[in-house]
Amino acid sequence: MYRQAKYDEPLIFELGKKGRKGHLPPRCDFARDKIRIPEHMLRTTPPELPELHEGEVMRHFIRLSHMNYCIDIGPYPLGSCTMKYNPKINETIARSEKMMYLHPDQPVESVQGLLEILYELQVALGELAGLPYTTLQPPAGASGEYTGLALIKAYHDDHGETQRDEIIAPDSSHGTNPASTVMNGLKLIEIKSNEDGRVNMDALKAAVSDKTAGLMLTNPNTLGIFESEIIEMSQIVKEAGGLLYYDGANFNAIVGKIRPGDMGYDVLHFNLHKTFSTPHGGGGPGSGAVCCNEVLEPYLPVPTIEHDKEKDFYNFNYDRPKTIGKLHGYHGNIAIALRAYAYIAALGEKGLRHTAEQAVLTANYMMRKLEKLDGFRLSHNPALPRKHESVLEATPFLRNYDVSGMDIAKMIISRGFHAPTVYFPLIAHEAWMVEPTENENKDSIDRYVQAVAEEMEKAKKDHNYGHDAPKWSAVGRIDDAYSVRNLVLSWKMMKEKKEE
Amino acid sequence: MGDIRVKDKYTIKGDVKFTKTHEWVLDEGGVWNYGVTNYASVELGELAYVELPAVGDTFSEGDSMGIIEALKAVSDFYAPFDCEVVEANSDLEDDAAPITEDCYGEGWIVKVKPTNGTDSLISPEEYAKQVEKEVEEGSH
Amino acid sequence: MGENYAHPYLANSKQDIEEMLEYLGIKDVEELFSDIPQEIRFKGKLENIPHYNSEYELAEAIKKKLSKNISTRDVRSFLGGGLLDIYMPAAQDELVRRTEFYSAYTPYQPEVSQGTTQSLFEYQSMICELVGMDVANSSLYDWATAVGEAALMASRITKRIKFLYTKAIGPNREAVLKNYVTGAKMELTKVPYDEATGKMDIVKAKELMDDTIAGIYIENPNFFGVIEDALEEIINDAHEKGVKVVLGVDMNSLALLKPPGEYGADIVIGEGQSIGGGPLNFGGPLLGIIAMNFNKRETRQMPGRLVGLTITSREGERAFANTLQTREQHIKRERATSNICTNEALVALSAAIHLSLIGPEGYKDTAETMYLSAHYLAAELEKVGVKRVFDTEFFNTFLLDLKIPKKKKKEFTDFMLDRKIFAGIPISLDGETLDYLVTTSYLLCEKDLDDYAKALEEWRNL
Repeated sequence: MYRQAKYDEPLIFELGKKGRKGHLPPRCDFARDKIRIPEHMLRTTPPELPELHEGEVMRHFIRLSHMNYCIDIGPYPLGSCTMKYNPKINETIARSEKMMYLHPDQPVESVQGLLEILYELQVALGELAGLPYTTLQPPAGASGEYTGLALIKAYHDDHGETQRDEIIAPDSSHGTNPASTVMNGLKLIEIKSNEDGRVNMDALKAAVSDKTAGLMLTNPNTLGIFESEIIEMSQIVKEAGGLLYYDGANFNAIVGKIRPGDMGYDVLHFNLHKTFSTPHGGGGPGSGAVCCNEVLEPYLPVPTIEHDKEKDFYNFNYDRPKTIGKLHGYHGNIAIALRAYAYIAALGEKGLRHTAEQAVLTANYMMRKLEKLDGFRLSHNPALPRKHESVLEATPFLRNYDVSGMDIAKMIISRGFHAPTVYFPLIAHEAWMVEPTENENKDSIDRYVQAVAEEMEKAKKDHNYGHDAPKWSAVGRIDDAYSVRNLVLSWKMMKEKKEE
Repeated sequence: MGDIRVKDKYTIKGDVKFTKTHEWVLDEGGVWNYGVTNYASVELGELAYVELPAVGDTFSEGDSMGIIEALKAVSDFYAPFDCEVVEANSDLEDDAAPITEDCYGEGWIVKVKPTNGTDSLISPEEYAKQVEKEVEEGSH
Repeated sequence: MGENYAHPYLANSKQDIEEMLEYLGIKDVEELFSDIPQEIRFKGKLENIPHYNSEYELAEAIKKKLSKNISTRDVRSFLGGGLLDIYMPAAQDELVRRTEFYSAYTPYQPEVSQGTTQSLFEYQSMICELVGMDVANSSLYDWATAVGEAALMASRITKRIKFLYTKAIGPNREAVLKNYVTGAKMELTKVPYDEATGKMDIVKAKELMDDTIAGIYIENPNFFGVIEDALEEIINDAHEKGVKVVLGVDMNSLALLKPPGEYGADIVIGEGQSIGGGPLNFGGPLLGIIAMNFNKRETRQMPGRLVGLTITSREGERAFANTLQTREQHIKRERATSNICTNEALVALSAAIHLSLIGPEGYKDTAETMYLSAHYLAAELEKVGVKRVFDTEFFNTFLLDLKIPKKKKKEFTDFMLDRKIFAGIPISLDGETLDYLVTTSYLLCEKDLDDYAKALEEWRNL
């Protein structure tokens, strides 16, 4: 039995009253002089910020929090997202005064402790990658992709091969791949996957040329299938003069067991908020550390963090003439990197290896259980093994019972579980992309699949049950079309609309 | 010539011409009316927005003239031949629904003037065959 | 995998594993990796993965390393540059530490994510109130990347590829801007400032603007802290020529300064860390802000996630959900407005909570405190013979005319650190000597400011 809390919680602007105070900030009552800003530049209308007392603010946000699903409530088998447990000790560690109250422009002598940790993290990530040189500067995976592609472009430009402006990627790739490619001024050459969901080798051979900058490929791919011909692919691309980029979104499948550097990749990004457990925060912050080999090392973003072994001193190196520059105002999402460091150090090499193994085992278990349900089928060649995630298609269910993959998702969220990723990758139909991670076990998966089965049975008897879902969530099915046709994006716009 | 129904789902209007990229055109005496076909609008589903070209814009055949935004996908619409835009249905910017409801009438997108002939257009029968083929290839 | 390896972050015991293996009809999990060629299996040992056997040892080890740091709570910090040493109320941290907020995913199933969506809508709304505009997105990475995104946005809207930006820009922001526009092959040109006042050169700005310019980026106050109070002519000229005006602001200064939405800005950007997004955190995570007035066509060029109000299938019910998603990478792929996917949502939530707690009075009070502290300090420094480089009105930041030779930088830093002071950000205008960018947060007191002036007096008497 599951009911999500529901409050008809007003917007905070609809709460409070003039004169209520929520917090007393420090006030240094000295030299209460006059403000000398020229009159025409003075603000005349104060901003409409809420006026609530502290308890009211607490109530408002606590109630809102009750209307939010999270990983500490139940499974989130979102394919491509690697929603795993966020260790609580990491939150405590990150709230150390010696982390929170550090300004990036402080003298480097005053942050040696932090730099020691970041350096250790860089080395550890480099080892896991099999690509020894690391930057922590990209603040998210997409930014990491941009960085890695920029490194590749800088390499080719530096070698006088400016005609190399094509990045090859399969049609199964994540949307950030083509977007990051274009942001770099490169062209995306999309190659069709073959029928079993893997890169079509003939298409790849046809796509490489002297205009190839590189191949962008996650492995296992977005279908959860390992691209076992990666060595040949790497040779084809390298022979044509290109480099290889590894999208680390799926690293949870291979962490500690296989290293992208050994597969022939030259550069990768990690999503620290995926494989390395940092919290998703409702959309962010994340962190997209990039690792590369010596071929691309000269172009890394500036500054790099270096260690003078003799003096045991950590420093920032800004003297990097070939650098691609900066991707972030400072050094990246450092407080996030600290959490990733703590996670890695809690597990160690062995723990990380077990993580990959359990992630792959639970994914296969969940896949086989869901596959048996009437209405699901595995996308692309069921005989091929999957790794940490799988893609099922709800096409049979839609065809036979007029209830879609999205409808099933809405039914399952009404049962106190979160739905998998729906309708991605684009090469699958009515896709259900399922990634339980090592954070689920047989019991939790059995409960999940049982709930899916029960919901699907109900929908078989009455397709309206599927169309009307979700029933027990805080709000009913969202009308996306209405939101786009009647755009109201702020309290200001809301008030203006009311006046109309 | 009457309308053709394909797979009992899509209407191919009988008195207009088509492109291979799912648009229809109708010669209104030198200036051609233009929109996307019923197959295209059904496949796109509920629409969110249309990005129209400006009056006076010129295009070569096959160039993207603008974008139709559905809720979960986007699709370009292409120049049926070398042309110049003489009118754009700016009402669609407020509400793209006419494309879904009446793609051959109220859902017209632009009016264009050909600048170099109109040879690559195809007939309703040819277009109907193309749609049938695409539907068959798509389902499995 | 046969051994009984147990760990708090791994959900499966030996029994779980055996049961699942049996169901799958395999003996060992390695069989699931059988399609991976042997030559790429890692057979060695990873030598440099740190490991602590217990949570206690882990926490102690990290604590020990971090203890080598000196934090802004150990000294008086006059460092700014776009970031601010703030105080986070305990209530704020308690809410941000709620797992329902931080361990939630992006609200792709908004029906069960109203906590995230409504609070982000409230955040967007508060930003709109501060900057005087209709629409703000639910975060970019930071101010620096927001400059880059704004330049690309101006280019998409105007279909022009040249962009102007103030020479008085934060160097980090300039560096990121340069990177962001390379793909679109945009041409960047700096608009100089008056050497005496530090304000943007009006004549030069108008000269540089024409109908090939997509946008002009102005900072107010600028990087040197100078308040740009004569922008009207530049902004009018820009609009006449179809140039988009992008204003980069100090979000705290808007408590006192007119919001850019009221004097003609087209796009406003800034840093949300300083209005309570979070503590300094050594520069990350931060909170990039971007806002504009609503325009059907142009708002669709805004990058990043946007939460909108909508209805649901239940009669009379309202809800909040990500909207205009077709702008984003997961749908538009290579034609997306930006590649941004993961943003800074939790930091945005944190800022909304902060602003809700301090309210309009707290917002104004802290801004006044910062302003008055900075002016008090500037006056005290003048008394000991240290002047500002630009004799213009400022908010909470000014550039101190110290002209310390570069080779004496460490000596000065150590000197000030001995007196428990982070003196400011060293800036070299002439390439040989250093001036210091000084910022006062509202955490500093009269004694702190007096100590700073005293220290400088001592330094000058050495």
